[in-house]
Amino acid sequence: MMNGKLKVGVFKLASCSGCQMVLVHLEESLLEVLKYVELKYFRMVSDDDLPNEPLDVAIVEGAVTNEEEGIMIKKIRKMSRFLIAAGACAATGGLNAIKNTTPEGEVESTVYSSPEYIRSGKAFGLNEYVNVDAYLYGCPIDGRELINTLMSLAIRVPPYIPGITVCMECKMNGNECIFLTRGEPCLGPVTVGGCNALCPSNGVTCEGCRGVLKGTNPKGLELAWTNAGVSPDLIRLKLRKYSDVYKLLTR
Amino acid sequence: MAFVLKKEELPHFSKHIISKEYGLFAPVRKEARSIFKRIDENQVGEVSLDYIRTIMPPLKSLLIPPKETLLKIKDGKIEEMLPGPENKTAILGVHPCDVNAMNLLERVYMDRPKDPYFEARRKNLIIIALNCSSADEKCFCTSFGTGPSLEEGFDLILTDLGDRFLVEVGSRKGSELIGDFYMPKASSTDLMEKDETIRRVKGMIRRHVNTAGLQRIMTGALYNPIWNELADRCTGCGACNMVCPTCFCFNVIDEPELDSGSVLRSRTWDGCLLWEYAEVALGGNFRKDLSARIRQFVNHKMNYWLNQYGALGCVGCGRCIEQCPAKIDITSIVARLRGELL
Ligand code: SF4
Ligand code: SF4
Ligand code: SF4
Ligand code: SF4
Ligand code: SF4
Ligand code: SF4
Repeated sequence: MMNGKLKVGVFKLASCSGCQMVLVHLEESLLEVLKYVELKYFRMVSDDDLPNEPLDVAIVEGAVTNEEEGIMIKKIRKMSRFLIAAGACAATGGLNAIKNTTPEGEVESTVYSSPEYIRSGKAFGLNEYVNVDAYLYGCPIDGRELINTLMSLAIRVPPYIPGITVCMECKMNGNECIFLTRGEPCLGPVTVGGCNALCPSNGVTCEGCRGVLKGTNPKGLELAWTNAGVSPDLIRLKLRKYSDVYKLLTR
Repeated sequence: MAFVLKKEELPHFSKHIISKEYGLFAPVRKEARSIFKRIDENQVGEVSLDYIRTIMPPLKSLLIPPKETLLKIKDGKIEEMLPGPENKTAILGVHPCDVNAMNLLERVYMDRPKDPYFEARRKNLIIIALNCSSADEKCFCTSFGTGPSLEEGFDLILTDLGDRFLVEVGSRKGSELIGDFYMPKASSTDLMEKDETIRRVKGMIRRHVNTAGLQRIMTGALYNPIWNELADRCTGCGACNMVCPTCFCFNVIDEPELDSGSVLRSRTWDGCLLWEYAEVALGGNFRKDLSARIRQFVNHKMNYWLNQYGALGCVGCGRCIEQCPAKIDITSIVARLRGELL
């Protein structure tokens, strides 16, 4: 991949396309990136079938929720040297995975008028099916992080993906802690940073959209919430929104 | 040398500092708290020296910014991004514990080896400290002699005497800063009132760490079950590392800069409560368990610092206690290990 431009494909599984929109909305920066990157496949802006040449980088949005998607991600993995799970859905199952912890009919009938047309099972992140080389967290992903990753790969340095928590960024921004002052459960302590603590810096709690940071302790957080008088119902709702926290707790 | 500054004169004094071409940082109110902020001429009225503890330590944030670009690399050429002498900075209203924390950071960054970035920022910095006129139940500076008054590390220091500030000079830089700004000389009554204030604040401090023989006790407790118990409660969020004025660890990262075609090498704050912190090549990790990581935090402050830099690494500011979502309290950990608390 080191000669000429980086050959990149952008793929979509079960998702809302929000992460691809981030890519589209890069606008001017995207033109700059395209000096180093050649987009070989981008379903959102073209109708081509899967590309039949090998790719340097695959950016995959979306969770795997059925058999076809499972086959698809394995194909993509085979044709790509570097695979990026882009966004909460691809990284952890994302919002889709609410149905892993709630009866499926219940979830589907709240969202769709004719749920009988839906063909999908439990939702999983890509790493349940294939090896993932890098994760871009967030719901949706952060545009700067995407650019950094692509550019780093283009100039052959390992992409920097932060391994710090949202709380750390929240403190660096000098914020008063919403959990400590208002007693509202915030997932910042166990969530991967990189969003510059977007939500708490704007006065609302972190929902954990960037997934659980390795080595943090969600059980400790659950205990802290309980001790602060957060109701068990609220704790359950909060932990299950982006379901990987829940998965860790019930493992 | 000591002077008296009427409280209503503080904005003029702030303006005077700015007129000497210093970028001025001072505490202002933000909701219920105070936060250090860059102040321009029109904002001098917002400066409010009536606070106990800011969330972030002001001097660490200035001298080692959370993210600082060190090098710019382009076409094989390396450019050092050192702050120039034109970036003169003045900070007004820093409490003794925070100045003493900076004195500790100097041991780390100005010696073995000297860090040119820290040194450049430190040289550009003038410190107008503020003796404490109040303390809360999280302050415990008296355990380390790091407050509520200050002996060294400042250029000027203020003490709140109700309707006026006592202004004492700590360095030539400090007296040059006063320059032609007129202030009447302090009287012996003013100085007595200062001593009285500090005695009163000392009396307000309820929290303590017993430092007698502490190093031996901490080392003896390295395998105490307390670390596992704490690891059940700790979330691993690393907020304690961020807010601590003596935590000095950083990570080094390379990022491509889109339009210039160069790569920026930066350092960003790191913390030993993180998994990644003690991770090495091929995925090895020296502190896989959270219990080992929280043990490191507490022992670095209360034990290892002494051999490393000749002083304990805590100044008793109380920030880690205040900001911990799990209510983990370094003073009660020490007290338990000393058998002073069950
Ligand atoms: S508001 Fe949330 S992210 Fe910020 S410090 Fe508190 S728990 Fe952490
Ligand atoms: S603060 Fe939390 S919910 Fe908000 S963007 Fe960041 S990770 Fe997502
Ligand atoms: S710890 Fe001591 S020096 Fe620091 S704010 Fe409290 S009283 Fe002042
Ligand atoms: S360990 Fe805690 S109390 Fe001591 S200096 Fe650091 S933040 Fe302050
Ligand atoms: S306590 Fe941890 S983060 Fe802080 S200086 Fe020591 S090793 Fe570094
Ligand atoms: S602030 Fe508290 S919960 Fe967070 S890492 Fe430090 S000790 Fe653990």
